[in-house]
Amino acid sequence: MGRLILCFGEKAEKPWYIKETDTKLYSIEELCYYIYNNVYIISQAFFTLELANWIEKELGLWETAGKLKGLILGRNSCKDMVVTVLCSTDYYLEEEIKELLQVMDALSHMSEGQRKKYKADLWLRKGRPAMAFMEYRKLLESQSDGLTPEETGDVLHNLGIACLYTGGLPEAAQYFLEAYGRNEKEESLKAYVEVCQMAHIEVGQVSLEEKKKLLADLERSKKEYLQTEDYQKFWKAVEKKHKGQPGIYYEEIDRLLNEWKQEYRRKVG
Amino acid sequence: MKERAHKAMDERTLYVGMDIRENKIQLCVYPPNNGEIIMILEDYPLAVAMDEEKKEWFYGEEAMEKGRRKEGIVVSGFLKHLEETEKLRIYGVDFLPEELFSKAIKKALLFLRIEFPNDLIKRLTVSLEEPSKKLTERLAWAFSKLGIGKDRLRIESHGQSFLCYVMGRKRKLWMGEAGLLDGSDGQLFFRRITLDRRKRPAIAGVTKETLRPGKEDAILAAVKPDIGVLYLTGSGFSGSEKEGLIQSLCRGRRGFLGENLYCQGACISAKQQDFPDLMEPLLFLEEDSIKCDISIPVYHNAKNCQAVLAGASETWYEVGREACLILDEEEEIPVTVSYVLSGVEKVFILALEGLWKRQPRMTKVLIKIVFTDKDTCIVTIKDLGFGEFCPSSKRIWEKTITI
Repeated sequence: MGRLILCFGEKAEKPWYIKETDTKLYSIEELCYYIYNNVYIISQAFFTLELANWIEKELGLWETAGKLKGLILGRNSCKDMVVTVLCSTDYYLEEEIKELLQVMDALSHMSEGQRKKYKADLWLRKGRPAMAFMEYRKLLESQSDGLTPEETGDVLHNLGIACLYTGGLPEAAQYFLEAYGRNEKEESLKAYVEVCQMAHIEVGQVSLEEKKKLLADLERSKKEYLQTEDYQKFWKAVEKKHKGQPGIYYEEIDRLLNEWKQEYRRKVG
Repeated sequence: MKERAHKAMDERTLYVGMDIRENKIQLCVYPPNNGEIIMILEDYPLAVAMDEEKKEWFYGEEAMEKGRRKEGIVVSGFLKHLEETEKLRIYGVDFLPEELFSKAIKKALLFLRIEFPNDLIKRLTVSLEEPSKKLTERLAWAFSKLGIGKDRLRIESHGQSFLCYVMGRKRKLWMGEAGLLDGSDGQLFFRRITLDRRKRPAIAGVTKETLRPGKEDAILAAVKPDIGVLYLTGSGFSGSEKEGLIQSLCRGRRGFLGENLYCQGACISAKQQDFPDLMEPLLFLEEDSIKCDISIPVYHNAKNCQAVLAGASETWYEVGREACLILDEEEEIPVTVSYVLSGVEKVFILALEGLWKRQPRMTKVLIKIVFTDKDTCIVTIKDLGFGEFCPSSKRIWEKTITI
């Protein structure tokens, strides 16, 4: 059954700006949402006296601000501060907050490198491949973050994915090959072969048998793609043209191109 | 700013009542030490004057004196001006009536400051014979200029102040019915409190009957035998020639004669907002009161409850509450109208047709309710999106509900 959640506090005239993710927040609910969905990068440093003052002055939530200030000055744990903010509204249920605390417990056992990888993975999941690319590169360049060879391989694999979105096919192929060299995962090898096909690059350093099998898998994937919504939209537009409706065809193509362009710009922006 | 407002409210200690008539005001206060009500001004002339020669402002009795000596332009009769006049011209300069009224009230409030130099007004209630929508708005503007905003100001009718005066006194004084004969300003009204204690909270009303001054038989007949306590106020009951009538009226019942009833009632009304135990909980229904609660089901403080957008007894033209809600897998909002007199409830569903598909809890809406007359309300819902995460579609839904 649905809920109508009554909001707390006011809407801020001056938003709270978070530089790391270029995000502006205008309400306590948005702050809760941000914390919940970015807990992997939230640390004690996120909770500053300036944030508490913003909660008090812009949102009018002086009680929450007072509690937070007390925790900051008392150097309480990040978990205490997260709970204080999340419990100041009804946006998240008690069980959701408890789940989040468990995630925070798990995170606290991760190495610095694992947390950074998680942060980069989050960018990729959010459809921001350019940001993810930068984070993965930073991670590889700092070598003292305690990643295993397999984890390094996974980072290289994700770098390859980020390159795919930004149009760098030869670079993507290189990253997938390097990834396979570290993590020995079929997924990375498969991705390498597929990208080589897409970029018309010779597939090297792979046995003939393996290559045949992977290419057969690729053909199967291509056939599956014909059933996807994206392809169906495109094909319907082409059909309109064949039926003597070029106007509708061009409109649809324009619309699809615009959608794809916007998506691309968002991913690399 | 919000923090300053919150802290400042704690530092304020005075509960003030003000009775505003056409040409005079009364002012009283509950002092900070929780003692009895103190009268600050009784029949202070509500007038401003500009001196012709020096172009200086004068107030109160000094203003009236300027008028008598024809030494300047006097402005009085403010209630009429606030109802009917758009601007007043004084020596070639236009003023809004509410601007001049604000000046006059500021001067009157100085007497309060003299008496309590270290204390600030926490709440002020103004009592008027007939607070119309226009009058209420202009008075609110005038008081806001003095730093007394809508959060600290209440404007009510004489009937409501009478009710607060009676209900705020010791119970034994008002067992049985309570009535009031008001002989102010050359008129005569008989007010009577009606109470329906079958409902919780009890529903109160004040009837008003116009009588002809001097017609003693009619006056005696109007005050029925079930009136156990009778209040008499106004110049219509002063003078030795009225003693006989007063004795007849008070025979077999408790009688009280006084000139500050509305003012003190307003003062009790001010304090009662922070000290509800001052009076029995009541729902006061007047001519312009809405006679139902309008609410929506919300999730608040970890439980399901009803959020009241408009409450019974509120004056229809003062209703303007709004609330922000986040939709969690909901695409419609049920609005419940609960009629306090009959106990009947009706639910009106506002379906948010065309609402953009978003993840749960990524849609915030603003719900607002206004009344166009005492029987018609308009519920408006606006899609606000969810900050930068989800832009607003700017869609607005509206429903008119006839009460």
